Amino acid sequence: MTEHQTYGQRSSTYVRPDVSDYVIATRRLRKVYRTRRLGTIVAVEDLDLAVPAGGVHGFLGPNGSGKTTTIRMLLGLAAATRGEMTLFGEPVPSGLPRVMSRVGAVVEQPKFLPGFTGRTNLSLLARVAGVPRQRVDEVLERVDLRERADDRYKGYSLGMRQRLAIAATLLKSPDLLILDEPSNGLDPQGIRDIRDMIGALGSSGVTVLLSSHILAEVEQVCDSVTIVQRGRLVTSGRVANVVGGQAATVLRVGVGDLDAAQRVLVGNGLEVSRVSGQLMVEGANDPADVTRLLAAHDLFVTELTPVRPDLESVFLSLTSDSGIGA
Amino acid sequence: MKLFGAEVRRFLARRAVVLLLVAGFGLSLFIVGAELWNHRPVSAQTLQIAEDRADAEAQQPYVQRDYKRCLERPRRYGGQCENLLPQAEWFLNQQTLQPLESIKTISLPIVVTLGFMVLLAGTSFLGAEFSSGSISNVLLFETRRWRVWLAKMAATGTLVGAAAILTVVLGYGAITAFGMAWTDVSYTGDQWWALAYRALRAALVVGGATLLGAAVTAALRSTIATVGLVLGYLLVGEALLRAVLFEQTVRWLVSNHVSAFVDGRLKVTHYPADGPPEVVRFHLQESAIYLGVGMAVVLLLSYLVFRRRDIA
Repeated sequence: MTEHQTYGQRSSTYVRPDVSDYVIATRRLRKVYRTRRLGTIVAVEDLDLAVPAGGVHGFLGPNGSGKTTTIRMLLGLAAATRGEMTLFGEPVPSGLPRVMSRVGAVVEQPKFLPGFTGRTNLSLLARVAGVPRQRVDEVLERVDLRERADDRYKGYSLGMRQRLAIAATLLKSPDLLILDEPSNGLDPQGIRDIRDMIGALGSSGVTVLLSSHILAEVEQVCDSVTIVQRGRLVTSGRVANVVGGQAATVLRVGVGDLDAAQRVLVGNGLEVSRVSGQLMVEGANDPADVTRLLAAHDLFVTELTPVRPDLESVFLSLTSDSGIGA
Repeated sequence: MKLFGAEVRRFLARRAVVLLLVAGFGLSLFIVGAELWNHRPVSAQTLQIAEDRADAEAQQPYVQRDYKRCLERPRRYGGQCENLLPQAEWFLNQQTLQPLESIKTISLPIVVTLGFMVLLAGTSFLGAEFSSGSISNVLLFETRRWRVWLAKMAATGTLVGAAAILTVVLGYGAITAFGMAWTDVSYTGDQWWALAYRALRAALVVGGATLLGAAVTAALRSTIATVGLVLGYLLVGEALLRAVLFEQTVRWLVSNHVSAFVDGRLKVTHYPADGPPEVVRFHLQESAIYLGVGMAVVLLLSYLVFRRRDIA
């Protein structure tokens, strides 16, 4: 995936990805829930998701945008109403038994039996997976939970539960990690540790699908990103391309007479706002146009800096009709 | 097999399940103990007191009068005039232990008590998986739902079945052993086989109860929903319908078939307001088929729902 694609208004030449080329791929995926109270709810609609091998792929969207539903369908926990899904080229759900030994996942919050110790919970899963018992100690060590491993799970803090869930995903030495809000409940050091671990896993060849609402974290650790809203794909691509392609160029302009400069720029059709004694100018195709316009009115710039947009601003602009969330 | 092993460990590691099994075992042994206590041998002192009371009662004029008349016209009294004289056992509160009778008496209470406990155990085992969400964790490691479902049912049925056999064998064994020690009773080969067959049927009902709890919970995904369903059936089916629509429902009530299956047969007599008493008979084979088919339908529905529904 070298370029980003935005699907707000899909062109007639749009070619859907071939689902077999990616570690994770969905094609025209749709999920409809029918409830007695709320009627029919379309959780995922016509979603094409393509995650290439290796690296960390962010999966973003506001609350209720269908991220977790998509993940649950990919893992066989929920059935798709329509569409195709593959993991490592194997169709989901029929081919899942052949590939699940390569997949580790945390879906929503950690889910373990509260009366069992952390070690017992992991040991039971290790036994199901046919993983040697010493692997349990290894993964407990890796998430820094070994000292509390023999405490009951119900006594764990949220952060410890999250670490135990991540430990469970590592039991199988996976080639694909699907992490749904892995930083939930962690303290700043814990968030950093998880982020470093995710980055290291991505660099080591493991493909990581990271669903998170901490946009700065996604931007720091992810190579590529998919943004969904109301169950539909909004944009997808490398983080730099998505950020660069979506945000309007903004220039920070320093000038002696702010009022005069603002009048000139607005008079020439640019959007101008004031921030901390400087002008923020949007809509200029070329920074030189700004200097030329101001100089023509004897206004000389003291600073002219393109402001780099971040993922958060892109996310908000693409999903502006709903709040940020998981 | 590794999945089965994991489920066995998971079952045994769950404290509520183990407590329910222990409670069922304890209550069953209490029933056995109560039966033994009620049929314990009398002490020489108690026997002497009873004999003295019987002798005193035998001297009563009305007893002597009847006895004398019997001797004069024995055919009129059935020929057994000694039976008219008070016996010591008439004045004892406990009767001599008759092991086969006692086993028959305690079988159904043990099956009902133990069965209810293991039904709760099976429900609790599956319900905890859904309420904690750990079922989704298991399905991330073994995606073939039929395997997960089968492993859970097999683990539940095997462990509870073993516990049921142990309880029943201990209970029946205790009655038999004490019966042999306290009386001069002895069993024929056929009686031993009949006893073993009865123990097996009792254990099967108990094992079926736990599978029922586990299977219904696998479909409903809630301990409370399953317990509510069972209580609802007991209230509406066994109590209300039995009282209001006895003739129409008597043949279909589960409790009648469980009784017939455990005891080998059952005779239910109904006394309608306008007519002679009606007798409904249940036989072992028909009750076995009824319970077996019912269990198979519940298991099949449970599996189909578990396989199809989304896991939260």
